[in-house]
Amino acid sequence: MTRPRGYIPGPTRRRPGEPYRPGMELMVRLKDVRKEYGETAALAGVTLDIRAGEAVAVMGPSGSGKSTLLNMVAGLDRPTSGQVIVRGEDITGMGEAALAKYRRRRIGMVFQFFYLLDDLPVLENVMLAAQLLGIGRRQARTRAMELLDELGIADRADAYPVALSGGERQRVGVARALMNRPALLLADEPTGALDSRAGEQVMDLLLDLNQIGQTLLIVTHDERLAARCADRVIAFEDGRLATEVTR
Amino acid sequence: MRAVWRAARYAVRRRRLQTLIIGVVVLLSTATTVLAMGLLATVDGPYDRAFAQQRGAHLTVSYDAARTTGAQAAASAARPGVTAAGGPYASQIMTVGSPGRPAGGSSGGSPGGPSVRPALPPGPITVVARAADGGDRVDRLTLKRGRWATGPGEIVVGSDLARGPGQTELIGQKVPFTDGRTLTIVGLGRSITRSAQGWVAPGQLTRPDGRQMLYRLADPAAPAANVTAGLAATSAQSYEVARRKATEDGKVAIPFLVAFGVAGLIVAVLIIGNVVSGAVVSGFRHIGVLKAIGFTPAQVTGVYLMMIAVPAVVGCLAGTVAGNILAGAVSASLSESLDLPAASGVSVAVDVLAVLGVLGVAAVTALVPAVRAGLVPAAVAVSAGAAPRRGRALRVQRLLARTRLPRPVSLGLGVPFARPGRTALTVSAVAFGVAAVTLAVGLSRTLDAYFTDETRLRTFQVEVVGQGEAPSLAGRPGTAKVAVTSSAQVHVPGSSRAVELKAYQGAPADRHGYRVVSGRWLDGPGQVVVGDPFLEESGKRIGDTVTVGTDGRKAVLRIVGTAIVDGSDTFVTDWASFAPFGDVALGSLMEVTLTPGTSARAYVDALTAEGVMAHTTDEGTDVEQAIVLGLVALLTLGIAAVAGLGVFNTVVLNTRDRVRDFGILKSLGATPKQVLTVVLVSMGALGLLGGLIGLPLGMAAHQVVLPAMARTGGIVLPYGLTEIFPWTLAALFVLAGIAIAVLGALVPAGWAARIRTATALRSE
Repeated sequence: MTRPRGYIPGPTRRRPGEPYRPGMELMVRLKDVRKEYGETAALAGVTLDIRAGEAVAVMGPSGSGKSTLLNMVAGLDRPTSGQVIVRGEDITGMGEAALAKYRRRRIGMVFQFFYLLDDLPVLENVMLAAQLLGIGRRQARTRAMELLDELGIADRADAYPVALSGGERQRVGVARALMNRPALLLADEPTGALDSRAGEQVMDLLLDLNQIGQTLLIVTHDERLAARCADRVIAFEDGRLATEVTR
Repeated sequence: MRAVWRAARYAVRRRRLQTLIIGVVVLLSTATTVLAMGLLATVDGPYDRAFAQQRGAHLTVSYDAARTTGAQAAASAARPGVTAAGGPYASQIMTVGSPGRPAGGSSGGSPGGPSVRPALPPGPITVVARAADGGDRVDRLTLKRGRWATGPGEIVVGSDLARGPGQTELIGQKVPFTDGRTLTIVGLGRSITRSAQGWVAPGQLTRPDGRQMLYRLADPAAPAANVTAGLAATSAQSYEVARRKATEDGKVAIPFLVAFGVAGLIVAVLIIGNVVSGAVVSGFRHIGVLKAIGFTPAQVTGVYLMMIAVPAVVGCLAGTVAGNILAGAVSASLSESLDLPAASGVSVAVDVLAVLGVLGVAAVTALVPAVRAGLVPAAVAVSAGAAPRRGRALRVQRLLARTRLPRPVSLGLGVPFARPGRTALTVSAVAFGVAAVTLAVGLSRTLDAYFTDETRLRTFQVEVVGQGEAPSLAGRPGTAKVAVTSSAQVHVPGSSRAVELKAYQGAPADRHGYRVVSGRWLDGPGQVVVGDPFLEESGKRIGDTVTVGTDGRKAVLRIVGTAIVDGSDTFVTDWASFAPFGDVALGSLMEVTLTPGTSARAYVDALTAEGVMAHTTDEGTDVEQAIVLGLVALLTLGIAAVAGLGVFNTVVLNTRDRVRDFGILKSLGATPKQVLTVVLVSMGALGLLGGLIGLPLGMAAHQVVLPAMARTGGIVLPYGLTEIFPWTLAALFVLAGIAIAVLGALVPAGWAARIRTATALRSE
């Protein structure tokens, strides 16, 4: 696979191969975040910092609150209480439109089930993120083709998602997530729906991205993925941060 | 079976909105159907039933009192073919005069005195001296209000006569006659045969000029001469004439109501089919899950039929009740206004037919997709919505993506191409809706235009009774034009019809607001314009001659055209050709056209104060027209509501189907406004397409259905009455299609825009 290049914003960038060094710019800060669904607390007061260029894996059993945490950081859901601060910006009180703009500019998301729009070909799926940001079609297309090329699926640009293998679809998902050069890449079980070979490819891809400075927050059940890609592994249990291991 | 019921019950609970919409669509469809069918029964059947009940007279004859003795008239009851007879009753043609000038009809009166509105419209009426004890062998009279006349100075007037302008409370009012008498109205009565317009107690007619005999015949169609031969009969009216007169107002409405009934049924069938199919198609994933847990194809079919049956049965029963209540109320008003015997409400047969019909439609439309649901493989059903879509539709999306349109707009425009089946369902729902509303509004406008033409409301605003005031009216402030008209009752040989021959002073070429249906208007003497029903019944054509006569006076006139005339029995000729009938004329009227801005009411009040008999034409607007138009508006509303709900349902399903896609867009940073744009553009596009398809469909249906229906009632509609869709209205219908689709999408679109992205992504 070709190593991704050229899409990471300057301040968060590490030189290739350079290891994570604590003390870098604070990317995400969660302050006593709670999320309750009726009587059930999906997050029971989580406090967590993620620094720029760091790769953090969140693990835990189903229902432990990992995906809820990811949704909070992505602005897809709102905490019941507490604060979510991303690059110094408190997103907790943002309106829907502001959150949408925040997601466009700061966040890239990779999903377990890819969540590609089946009605659009691969290239259009990838371009869409930039177009929603207001970037012109030509510029978006150039950028999307670059990414697809770097991720090794440029030859599938005109195919529709349903014609792709799981690994290919996930790479399209990653390309789409990287389209707007996000400060933070969030991945929700990125290998969960893939066979082992495709899973390996995605792991390599995420590792490569982190190696060149991309900040990652990965929610996964896959210990191999966590061990291979993450600088820090956080274990969740009953909506709480149970253990934290820094490698 | 229990599993099927349980699964269906949960499915109904889970799809509350869809269940509600199916129920309401079926309810409205059933109510509209019951109402339409009930109304048809109101204007069609009751006359014959009442005729039999009241032992109506097949033949009503008036013998000249001077030349026929009572014994001679009574003896005619024994003639061959007569099965029963009533009479002889003394009769007299009495002329109702103005309250201001009861005697002589001169222009005296009381100038400057109080304005007294007439109790009855001025003109001649037939008054019969008859004791109505309800035991008459022929033509039993019905007392509608008040009491029968028992002594001098009292009169009971016919309820048909009481349908004139402003007749709110007649009982107790005094009616002046030109012979100097003034009678007090003590009751309103009805003769099913319409043998007279007024009844007094026996012995109360001062100068009877006729002896009225009422006959029931073994052969109702037998010629009157069989009975009247050798006697001096001055008039003989077949019950067919009475029947036609009694029902002709309703008959005009019948074709329109039938058209509405048909339109309502078709729309109901299409919309129910659409809603039910949509329900099944949208539940494909649910079908897959049912199959995955072991439901057999038959059980899956059963679940889906049950899901539809629950709201359909509830809606159908509620609709039947609502339809009966509505039909009862409207029928009562219609019967009253048409002076028809009260209908007994919607018959049980109509209810049963409506329930079975509507449920049958729902069952058949549900069965096809439900069986398909049962047969579809579980894997295919589970992956419904995620299955690959190829071909032209995706190429269209790619093309749209290349346009310079904002991305949410091009995405929205591409949505309809993604799921052609669902799109076809939505477009057809909008098209049916727009077509139905177009047809309904078209029918309503044509009916309105027909009534307007029939009464020539736009031509003149005030009618003045009498003669000789024309010059003073012409110079009066507010008068734009005065047309003097006169009419006489004449007969057409070989026909039982008594027709009103009408003529206007002045140039024959002046149409006086009549709308020509075929042929042309008068352009010289010896010509006549007739109504289409006359041609239909007499077998005559334009170009043929017709002989009209009465009391030895005769005129041969050439039919040059047909027009929408007031009632089907009016002939219009020129003033010169009318001259032979001048001395038997029923009287003169002046049709006054007012200058713009002049108040007709004030104009009439001023004339009345001067003792001149006048009334405004809007007072004369028939109540039945208002009721029929109101009814048409009600049916239009019902059809529009059914169509609108059908569209709403389809749009809701369509939008909900795509919630996950909206979640994806939001996760990529689409703002709520952008998501809303995608939904509204996609549905607006479908609305536009549906509108563009539905409009010509509705117009074509109007062009085909209406004239065909009208012909069944002997009415020929002129070109202008079916061309009643100005482009602004047409554009409005297309916009209505868009509006319905967009409004239908607003609720789920707003929901899609507001929904938490995480929730949207989880939805299936």
